[in-house]
Amino acid sequence: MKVLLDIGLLGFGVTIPISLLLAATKNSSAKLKVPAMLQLLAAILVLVGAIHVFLTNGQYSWNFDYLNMFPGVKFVMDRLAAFFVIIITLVVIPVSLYTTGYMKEYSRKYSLTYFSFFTSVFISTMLMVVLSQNIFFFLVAWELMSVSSYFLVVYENGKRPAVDAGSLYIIMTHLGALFLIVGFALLSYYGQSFDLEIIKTAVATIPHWVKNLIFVSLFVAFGSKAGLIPLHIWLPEAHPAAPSNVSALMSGVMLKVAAYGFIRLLFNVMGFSMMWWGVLVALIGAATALIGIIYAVTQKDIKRFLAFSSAENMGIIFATLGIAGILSRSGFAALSTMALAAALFHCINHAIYKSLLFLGAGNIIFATGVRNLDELGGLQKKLPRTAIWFFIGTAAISALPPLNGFMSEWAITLVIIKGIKAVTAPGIQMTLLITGTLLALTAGAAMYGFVTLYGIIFSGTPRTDYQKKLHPMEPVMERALAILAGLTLVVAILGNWFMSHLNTDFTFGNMPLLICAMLLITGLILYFTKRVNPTETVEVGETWACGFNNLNGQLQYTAKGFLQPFRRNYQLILRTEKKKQFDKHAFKKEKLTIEVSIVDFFEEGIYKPTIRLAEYVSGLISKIQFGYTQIYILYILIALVAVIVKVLRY
Amino acid sequence: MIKYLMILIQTALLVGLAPLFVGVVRKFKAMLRGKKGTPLLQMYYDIWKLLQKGRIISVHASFITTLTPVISLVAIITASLFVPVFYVSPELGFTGDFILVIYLIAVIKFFNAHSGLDASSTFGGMGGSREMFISMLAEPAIFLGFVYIFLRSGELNLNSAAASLNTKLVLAPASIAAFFAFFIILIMENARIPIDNPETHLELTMVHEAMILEYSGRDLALIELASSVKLLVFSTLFVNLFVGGGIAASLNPGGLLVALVVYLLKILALAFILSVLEVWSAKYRVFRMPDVGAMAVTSMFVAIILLLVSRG
Repeated sequence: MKVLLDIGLLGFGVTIPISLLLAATKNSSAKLKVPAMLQLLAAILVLVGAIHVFLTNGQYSWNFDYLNMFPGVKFVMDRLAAFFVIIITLVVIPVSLYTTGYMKEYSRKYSLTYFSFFTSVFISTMLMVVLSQNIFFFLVAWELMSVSSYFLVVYENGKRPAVDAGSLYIIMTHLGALFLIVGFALLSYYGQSFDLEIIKTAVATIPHWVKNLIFVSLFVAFGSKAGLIPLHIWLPEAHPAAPSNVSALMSGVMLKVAAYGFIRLLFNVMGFSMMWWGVLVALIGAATALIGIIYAVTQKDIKRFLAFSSAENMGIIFATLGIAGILSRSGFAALSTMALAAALFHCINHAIYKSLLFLGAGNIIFATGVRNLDELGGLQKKLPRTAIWFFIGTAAISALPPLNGFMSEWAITLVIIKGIKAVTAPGIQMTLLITGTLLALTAGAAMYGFVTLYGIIFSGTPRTDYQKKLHPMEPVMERALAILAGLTLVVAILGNWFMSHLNTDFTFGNMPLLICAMLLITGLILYFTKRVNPTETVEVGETWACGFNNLNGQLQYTAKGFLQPFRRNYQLILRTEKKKQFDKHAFKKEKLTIEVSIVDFFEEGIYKPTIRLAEYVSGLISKIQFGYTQIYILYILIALVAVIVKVLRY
Repeated sequence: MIKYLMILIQTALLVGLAPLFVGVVRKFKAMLRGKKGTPLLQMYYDIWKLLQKGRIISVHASFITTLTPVISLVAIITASLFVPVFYVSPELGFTGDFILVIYLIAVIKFFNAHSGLDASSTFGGMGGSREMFISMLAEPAIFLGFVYIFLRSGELNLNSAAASLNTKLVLAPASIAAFFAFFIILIMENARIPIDNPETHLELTMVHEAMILEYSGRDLALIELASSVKLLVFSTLFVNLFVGGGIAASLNPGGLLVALVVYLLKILALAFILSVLEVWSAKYRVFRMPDVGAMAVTSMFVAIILLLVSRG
């Protein structure tokens, strides 16, 4: 078994130089397919190995001692790491398949070598982060992961929005990395080592205020990478800017790696020591979930919608993690493990259906070139297979039985309800109640939003004439979607059995029996209605339009209209700004332009004032810059004297 | 073994009795309005008539329109497998099955809203958007309802909860608040006045009816049946969980018969209350729905806090 993992991981590593070497060839098909197929095979091998480790609670480790290099660097796959490796490889398989068809569109304008190289670095470093035992290497891998994904985000460097999105992304991710370094520095100082196992034993000696500081730094670091508010603003910019397969990887996998980091460091290494940590994480997670879906629903761009929805789901995951922390602190170890299991299960489910949705969005944009929801419509007739898989994706994310989203919603709801009864402190009960209510509201809003997404794009008739210029679809892209859609059902059926390895309370009853019962009832209904009316006629006619016979696409609801009650309801958060402009010219017709835009609360309320403050402070400081070199030499002299005095004194 | 047979009997009862329940509500409404009203069994005749007819499907429709009627009925029948009617036994459910029941009902809403958009009609979009909006507002109240039931009965599956609540006092303040909240949820989820008017023929005032405007024949029969079963399922949950009493926990025939009669009487009383509410008030504007949802959430919250305070 270890051999499989060795070969697989080596395969991932080998893809990096191979994709560079392929720059020499002119055959763009080889440049694209060889790295993608290598990654696919490597992913399958690693997946099998990881599943084995998970089921048997095994542990494998790798180190570089035999090379006499990098002493103390260890990679370990234990059950938690194996779970996340499963998530990574499970998503990499369909995405690699998808890449072989999707990138053909880019092969003319942008470099395929660049794409293959950075994708292989991205996937390999994500695996390295998950497997790292040594926090220095964790940091190195984390940075490489961020940087390689930055290069992928700005892949379409001819477009200004992509480049701007990349800049925002790299700044935010480095801000997070700064806090990560602070947290790790403190941990390694007290643990006297870079090895997580050794730090774990030394955690008890860390004073309380330092532990709080470490918690805050790590929470900011992992939270900003996962897209929790208020550090989420890079998510809706970066994920849409990247090509769709990269968006699927980032949204489906990279965000989960952030969750892995949080779980590993705060549950495994540090142990959730304080109650207020759990409360903070739970409340911020729940707030992210609600605000994420509120902003998601107001977007017109398909990929921005999906990006905000990723933030929402990461909020749900972190809220559940916070609840696990609260429960473990209150002494309910079994419930806490169940909450952790529910959060992990949601991780894998979200990875599957979010990748499905992003790849589906990729299909839509590949075929139509349109990203605006309100210009589409009736796509189901032209892309029937994409429509079905995308439909299953939206059903899964709305937590409908018998798909996988329902299983994790069920687990999370159950854990919260049990927790409310178990916990006795009133403040904690209130926290759990509020978190649960916010998550319930989010679930309802998510269903609303995803009904809109599928309905406006695929159902009905076209709202503009975009269907005149459709690009033919590559079949492999649809097959990748089919794999993910099938996984939603498979994970639901196997989920019970799989998750019971983590915690035996997690038994849903009998999902296969339920599905059989539903199929049986379907059969009975169809049989009965056929018996009653064997000669039933089915005609095709025009839709009822209240007597008018000029039904056209423009009469349908747009996404904006469908979601209007929602937007009106949440006016407190979604401030709108209306600009009117009335042009009257002597020889032309009068023109009235009204522009309604939603004011982003975080951008206007938090980031812009902070930036203005920073500019103001910089302005004050710049008063000491006179432009004469002599004065700067004087400053250097003063600083030097001050340092010498201080050093001599102590 | 006979216990599992009781699941089938109770489900068959729910599915079979649902059109009669709707008929009773309509009869009460007519009586309150001073009219004779349609026959009690009218809905059965309607469903039978629709099953005999052919279907017309819109040229713009897709697989969603074909799937929705069957999926709606399958979902609600599957949900009613777990609902205790007049006999409870802890083996007939599993932990957290009430979550499954609610999400199966969400499946119906999901597919109905999609079928509204599917036919490319404005009315469908309108009905779908309103229905999704209202169901979003009801979600937190339903979650709090679960919390309340668990706190009150100490059980996590519907059958055990009903058994435990059988003997608990209904007149406690917490129960009254929860009763009120779940009643509001029942109205919101089932498209009754004052949320939606099931009798309206004006498309602009429709919520549920607008989504199913394009259906005819067998499809319409299945959807109408599914809606009426949904109403009866919610009513059954309401009378068994929030107005406990009278449920049989053992299999002796006398006890079962008494439990059945008690159940039918409770449902009859609920039908009367529903019809009084429907005659007495008019449909609210869509933008007043958040207020109604907030009322449900607040009442449930009050009930839960009263329970938590009295317990600790």
